[in-house]
Amino acid sequence: MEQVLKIEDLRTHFFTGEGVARAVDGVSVSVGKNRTLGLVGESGCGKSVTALSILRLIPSPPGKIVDGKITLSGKDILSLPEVEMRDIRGKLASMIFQEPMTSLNPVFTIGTQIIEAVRIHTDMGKAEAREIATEYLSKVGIPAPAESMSQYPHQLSGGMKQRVMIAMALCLKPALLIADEPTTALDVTIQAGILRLIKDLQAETGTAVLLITHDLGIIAEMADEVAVMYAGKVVESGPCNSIFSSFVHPYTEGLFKSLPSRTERRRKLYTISGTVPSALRFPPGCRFHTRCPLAIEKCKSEEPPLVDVDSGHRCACWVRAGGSA
Amino acid sequence: MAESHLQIAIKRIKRDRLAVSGFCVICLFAFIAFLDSIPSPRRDVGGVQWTRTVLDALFQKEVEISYSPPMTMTGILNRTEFQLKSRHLLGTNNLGEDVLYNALKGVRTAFIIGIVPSVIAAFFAIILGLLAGYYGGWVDDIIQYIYQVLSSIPGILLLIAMLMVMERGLWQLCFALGVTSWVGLCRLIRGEALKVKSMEYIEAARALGASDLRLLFRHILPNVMYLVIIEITLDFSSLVMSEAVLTYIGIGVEPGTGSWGRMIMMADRELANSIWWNLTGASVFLFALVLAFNLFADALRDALDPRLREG
Repeated sequence: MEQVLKIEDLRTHFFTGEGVARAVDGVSVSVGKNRTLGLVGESGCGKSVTALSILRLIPSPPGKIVDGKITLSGKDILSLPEVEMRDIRGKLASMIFQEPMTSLNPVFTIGTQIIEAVRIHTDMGKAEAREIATEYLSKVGIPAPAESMSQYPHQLSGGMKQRVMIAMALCLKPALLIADEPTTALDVTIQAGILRLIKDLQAETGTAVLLITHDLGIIAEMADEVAVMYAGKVVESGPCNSIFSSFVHPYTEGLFKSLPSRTERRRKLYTISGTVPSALRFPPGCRFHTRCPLAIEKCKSEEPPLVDVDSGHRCACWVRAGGSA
Repeated sequence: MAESHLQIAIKRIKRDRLAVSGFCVICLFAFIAFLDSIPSPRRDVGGVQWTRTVLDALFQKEVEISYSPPMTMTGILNRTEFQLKSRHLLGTNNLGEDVLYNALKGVRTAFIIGIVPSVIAAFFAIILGLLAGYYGGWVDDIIQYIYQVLSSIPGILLLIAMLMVMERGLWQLCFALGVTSWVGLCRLIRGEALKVKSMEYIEAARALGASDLRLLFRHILPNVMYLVIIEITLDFSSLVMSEAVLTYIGIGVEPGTGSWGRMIMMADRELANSIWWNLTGASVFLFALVLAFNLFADALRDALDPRLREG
């Protein structure tokens, strides 16, 4: 299948006063046309940094992509000059952010902002851009789109703002949509609507979606493939069904066990003990061994490779995925 | 329906009666300044073309007896056909010039001094403040160094030195005041730009492919503009008063330009002889304009500053 986005061995490090923070350290994932990849993991495991690396929006200094290759629609992103990169952002790949409340500029009407998004990349006239903007506002389910064009962000609710952000992100039919926790800041009742909207628009435009979240429920609903990240690395990846039916990595297991259960009402919620280690001081060997209930001696010294456990299902664990590789 | 921040701000100001009356007074003064800026088409009797403004044509009186008290009838020519011209409502000064006329001539100067330096300062402050806040790093270091050096030199000393080099004059004074007064605003804008640039909407705009220049001037600048507007209106009164002070110590506008500072300077020798109208004329005008501007600027700041905004 044609891969829209292919990340190979991406390493994004932050050079801080206290040392090098290896926020993303050897991540390889890919997304095909019309497919959705869910990137799951706890806070601080490098999901967002991976996303920002794709658009080369890592604040630099201190951040730097030190190694790896990112191919987006056949273009080698990391070797492009900044000027061409600007053309790609918003046109070939666009992004929706976690905080819809602050993602729109408060001093402009939403119409102005969508029209600007269109006109940055095309040589359309104002009237033409306005038409596209109105069209997309109605597509994302904004009531009375023509009138809403003259509204200011503070007059919209969070869900509406996120819809506007989606309209802005999709109005140029990008090949890749990066959604960084698109529903985390929204009410649960709004979440489903937003997710459905993303899915519908994806079906319509064939956009590849990279969905970043920590919510396994969202992944189950949206994703075709899943990559579970821990401490800057992908520890398990594969087709959504395969992961949900037979997860292998103890970290993935921990994530699933931490979900509240509908059947056992009084059960205390499971937690994975400890926190994600600081990116400045990752433990040697398997990075999860400090919190892993199954850890053996080998885990403390040697890093497990990603190996196939099933067709397309890969996992990096000495205990569960064997040490054959 | 949809209201812009500006419309909301105007609505807020309208609710404040003091601010509205302040605004009316400012408009009245601005009208006088305007009259003093358009040239009068009338030719003089002698056939010589004078550069006179409409204000001059309306109010200028013949030179008369020095130090006539207020309400004196015009003496030498004793014209009665035009009531306004037939009396010296505020008396005359040491040269026999009408005090009211001089005070009115000071309005235009006050407006120029109150606005032009602020605009010059705002220009420097916006460019340097935005660059420093947005780029950070060595750009920030250099700009901070420049304004720290500048602000460590006593302002009045710098002003005197600049005016010595450029010669005295209204526009030179504006330039000197502008160049010496941008530091405060620059600091404010730098801080605000630093805050705004890390907002998600800036990152979102960048993710949509906006260039640095577009981000700076289209996305960040409108978000810090309220600071500039507030600063310009708040500075107005202090600039007008500083003109009076600078002229008083002899480095203000050159003779011949209407100036309340000059009138006050003259008055310090006249008061002993109980000639109070020169000082009173200038002070009342100065006081009225500054008070009106302060009332208005206060309301404007309340209306524009997001930190003071309720709800």
